[in-house]
Amino acid sequence: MKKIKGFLIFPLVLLFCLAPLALTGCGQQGDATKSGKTPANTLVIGAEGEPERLNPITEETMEMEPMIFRGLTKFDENNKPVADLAKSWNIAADGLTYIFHLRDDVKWHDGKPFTAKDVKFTLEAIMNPENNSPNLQELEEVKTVEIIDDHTVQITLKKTFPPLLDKLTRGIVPEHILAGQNIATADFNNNPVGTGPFKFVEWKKGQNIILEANPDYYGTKPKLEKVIFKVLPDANVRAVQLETGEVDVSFLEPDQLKRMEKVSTITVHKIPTADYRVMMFNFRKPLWQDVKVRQAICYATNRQAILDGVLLGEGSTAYGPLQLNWSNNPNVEKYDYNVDKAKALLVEAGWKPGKDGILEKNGQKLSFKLTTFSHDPVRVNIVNALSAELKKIGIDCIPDPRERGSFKWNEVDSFLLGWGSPFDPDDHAYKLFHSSQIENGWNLQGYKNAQVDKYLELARTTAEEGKRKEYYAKFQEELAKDPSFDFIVYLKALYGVNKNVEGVKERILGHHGAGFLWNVEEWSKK
Amino acid sequence: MSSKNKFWQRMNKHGMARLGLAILLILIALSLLAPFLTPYEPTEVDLYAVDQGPSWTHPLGTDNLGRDVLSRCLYGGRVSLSVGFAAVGVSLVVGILYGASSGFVGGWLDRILMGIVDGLLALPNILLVVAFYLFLEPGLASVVLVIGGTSWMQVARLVRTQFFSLKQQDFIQAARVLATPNLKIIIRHLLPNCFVSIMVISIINIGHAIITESTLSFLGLGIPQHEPSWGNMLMGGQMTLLNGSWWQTVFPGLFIVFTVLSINFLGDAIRDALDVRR
Amino acid sequence: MVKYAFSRLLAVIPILFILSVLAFSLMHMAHGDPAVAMYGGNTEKMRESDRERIRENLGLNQPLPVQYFKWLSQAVQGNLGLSYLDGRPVTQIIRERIPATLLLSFTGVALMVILSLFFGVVSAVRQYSLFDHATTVISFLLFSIPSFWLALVLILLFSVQLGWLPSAGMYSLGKQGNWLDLLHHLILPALVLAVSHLGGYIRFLRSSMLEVLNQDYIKVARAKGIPKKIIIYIHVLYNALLPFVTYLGLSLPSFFAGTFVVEVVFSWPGMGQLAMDAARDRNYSLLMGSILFSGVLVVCYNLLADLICFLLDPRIRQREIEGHWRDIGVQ
Repeated sequence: MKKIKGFLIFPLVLLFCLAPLALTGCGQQGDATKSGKTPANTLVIGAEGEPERLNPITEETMEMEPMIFRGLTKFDENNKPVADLAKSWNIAADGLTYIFHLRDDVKWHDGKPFTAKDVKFTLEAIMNPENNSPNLQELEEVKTVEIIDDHTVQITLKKTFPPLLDKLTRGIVPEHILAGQNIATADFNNNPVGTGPFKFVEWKKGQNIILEANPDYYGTKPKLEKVIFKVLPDANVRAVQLETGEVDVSFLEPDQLKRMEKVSTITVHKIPTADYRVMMFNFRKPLWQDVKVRQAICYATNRQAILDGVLLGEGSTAYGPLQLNWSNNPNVEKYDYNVDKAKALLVEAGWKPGKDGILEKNGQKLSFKLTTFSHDPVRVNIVNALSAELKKIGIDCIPDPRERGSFKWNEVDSFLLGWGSPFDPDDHAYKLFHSSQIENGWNLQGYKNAQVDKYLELARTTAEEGKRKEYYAKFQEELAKDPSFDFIVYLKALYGVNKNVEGVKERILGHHGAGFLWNVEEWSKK
Repeated sequence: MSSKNKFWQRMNKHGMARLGLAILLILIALSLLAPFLTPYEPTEVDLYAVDQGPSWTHPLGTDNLGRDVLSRCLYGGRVSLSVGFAAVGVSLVVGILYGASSGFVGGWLDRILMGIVDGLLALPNILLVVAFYLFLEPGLASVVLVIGGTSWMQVARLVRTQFFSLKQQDFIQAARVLATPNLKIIIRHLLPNCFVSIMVISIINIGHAIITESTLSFLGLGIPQHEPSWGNMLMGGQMTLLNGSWWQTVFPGLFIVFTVLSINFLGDAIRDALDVRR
Repeated sequence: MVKYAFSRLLAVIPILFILSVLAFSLMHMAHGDPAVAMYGGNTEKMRESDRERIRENLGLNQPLPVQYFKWLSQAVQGNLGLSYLDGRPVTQIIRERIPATLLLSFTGVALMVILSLFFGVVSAVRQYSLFDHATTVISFLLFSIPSFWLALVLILLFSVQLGWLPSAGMYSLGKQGNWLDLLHHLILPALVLAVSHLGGYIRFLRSSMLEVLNQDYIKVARAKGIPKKIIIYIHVLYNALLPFVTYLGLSLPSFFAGTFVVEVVFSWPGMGQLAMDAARDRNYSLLMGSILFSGVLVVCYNLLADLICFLLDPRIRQREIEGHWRDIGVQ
């Protein structure tokens, strides 16, 4: 009897093993491209993530925004705003009234004509606090938006605001679909309709977003038939798929560079960006009140070594927030690496080495945590490297990698931060350094400097570029005297592109390589 | 079994035990003597010597921030070893308390307590570890707590089973009749009888704890990277693996393997020795 | 038999309940805010109002017991909620990932069974030979190697240096349904899985075979010089296999657990990788779903294994298996 029972066990175990194999046959990856490598004329982009909603009102940035939606203006090769949906505009002498003449040959992806109503609707939706748009602050100087006629819009400002044209690159949405709807929950967000060179086709959440060419586009008609954003959050997986040809474009990490450059099917683009990394001092902590301490840290930062060691040389050393911008002022204190000066400053400030080598003053150690995002290896490496450097002069800088959302900005001692915009200098200056931006802006460090405030306000509300440049120059001088950040490096964005893809044009990119696809309608693929 | 075979067998076990003990002691010594064995600090960054292979100046190579791998392996040993021992300590304390209460009291308390243990054991261990870890501050203490807090179940089960069977035995009944206080029964009579199995399981668990710490750090969840542990060195190593930087992966791993191996040899030999006595 | 099954089933329910409560409370005591994780990209730019809005939408500000019961009432109906990050139903996401994990774990099991049969049997039969000693040392070695390190070393050898096998993923794009490509990707992870569990099984099989081999009636048969040793060995093997197989069944769940780390190293798109990513992203709903699902699966397997045990031979009780376990110090 036992023998028979025993014999039963083997087939049962076998069944255990085989049954799931049958299931695998039913499991599907849901990949859009199923046959061969990526097909000709279809561009597959390895994306690090996907937006929450495909709606320019609710999203702060989206790589694909200018592909689906267009704004009144767009950024050209030099990151300057030029005509797009608005073919021309007049600015009144007082700089407070703008009249935009819209194109009359634009159709929405659903065929309906584009008119001034759409512009008014979009801008007012962004400015409506109930919609919680992250772009609300961009338009805070706008007083009213009025329709003059079907193809003419008038925008009136509260104060002169030269960056306005920059802000109007924001995508316009169709009034005839979204009017009266709740922007946050509208079905439109999963099924967008725009005026851009590419139409929305499909969105498999967590997997891919598929766009196809818009044959009725008013501008340069796209050569590509389809563009697919494939969601691959893991950097290594993206690199592997780039090699095997499963994706055509991918953002690369510095440590993948060596390997990728050897791959014969890929061109690596190393593009300068306005993206910089800094050590941010939290001004709410008493340690940073003494400017000498901050200056000492700036002198003690070996930027070139960090650039070469961590970023493998891809980038440049940083001394200010506007280095790649027309408004840059190179005649400021750059705090070039000088350990002796750093030590001298600390002595002046009253710090003396204690028994364990760490500097002390009034019984307190010069010890603090340098926090950063744990998921970004470049930042973690910079933090570790900087911490080791500072240790050499007696500063106890403790690396503190943290998960997103597991800390509060006003509680960290210091943070390894990243900012930078290739567009109007106001973009990442006013919101970062003006004292009014501490509550609701991006002045996370709680920095207050009356001179800085003054020049930022002047620069923001003056129309003439020459004068603006002067103000920004002064702003940078004051900032360098009273450092809000220890500027470390500017990054280069590294993109791997399959050699089959043509038409890529480089321009200065933004944070994390944003804007690489700026001329994608000119791209083609064999 | 011929006497020659018996001898061979005993020799084998003795040999293994000796070997295991020797290796373990060497490794512990290496970690303790770390400052004398290497001129580099484990956190000493050298941005001009990034990702270098083994050489005369850096016998085991450098990692992605130019830190000396040998130095980090030695200092990392301190972390990994202390985590191993401490975590098992935690699991022993919790496990013994838990299992003793459950086994001694019996009845519905036992059912509930063992039910919880079964529930916890149903989860894949690593998932439990990760889940626990999420709500602690990153760092050494948390890792110890987490590993200890997820490995006590086995100890508890063991203790409870022993208590259960021992409870029925004559000498315990006798003690009860003599109105010995319960606590005394537990401490004087029951626990010592579990000693053997607890000890064997603890030794093996030290090895498991070291591996779990390395897994946790490898996943980016354990000790943050600046202070070395064998696990977080492997995490850093994985990123440069595809570039061919094999030394960052192979060496820390070898340290782990030898440590755990020697612990296993030791544990196995001890168990055999105690078994024979029984 | 039915009574046994029923009582085991009843015991399972409270276990699952406790499981869910544990998982839920752990999730919500965790650091990190799923609202921030959802914002993705530039968390520097996220404002308090954004954070509050997302938290409201996800219902994160309600008292914990309320959140739990809401989740539970849905879960019982088979609805494990929507993933925080991409809004898809958790059950769907899990269902997509399960086949990959099952494929990997069962291939690993099969491979391991074959290998342990070979090594275990041969070393028992040739006790005290060089082969036996070598096997003992090797099995100890395998015990001591962290599975992810083994994976890394094999990747180094076979992918980076030799370029024979792929280092990640389950398919190359465009070759789906191609069995050869799948096999190509499957070899390394399955090998790692098999090898890292091998140690215990070899020793178990060996000790259980030795026990049978040393029994009197076998000795007598050998002494009598019964020819066709093979038949004897088959008989021995057969008897030794019974406890081995039950042991296998009981420890299958740990195999399932073992795949988690292997999946992460090889980017194998299974449940393990899913759960790890969910943990890192603070994707509470997905994480809860995965934990519960894994727990349920494991409990079911345990139940089935128990039943089979019972069916096979009621004499082979838990204790005997545990006895064998203790002999080789495997958990």
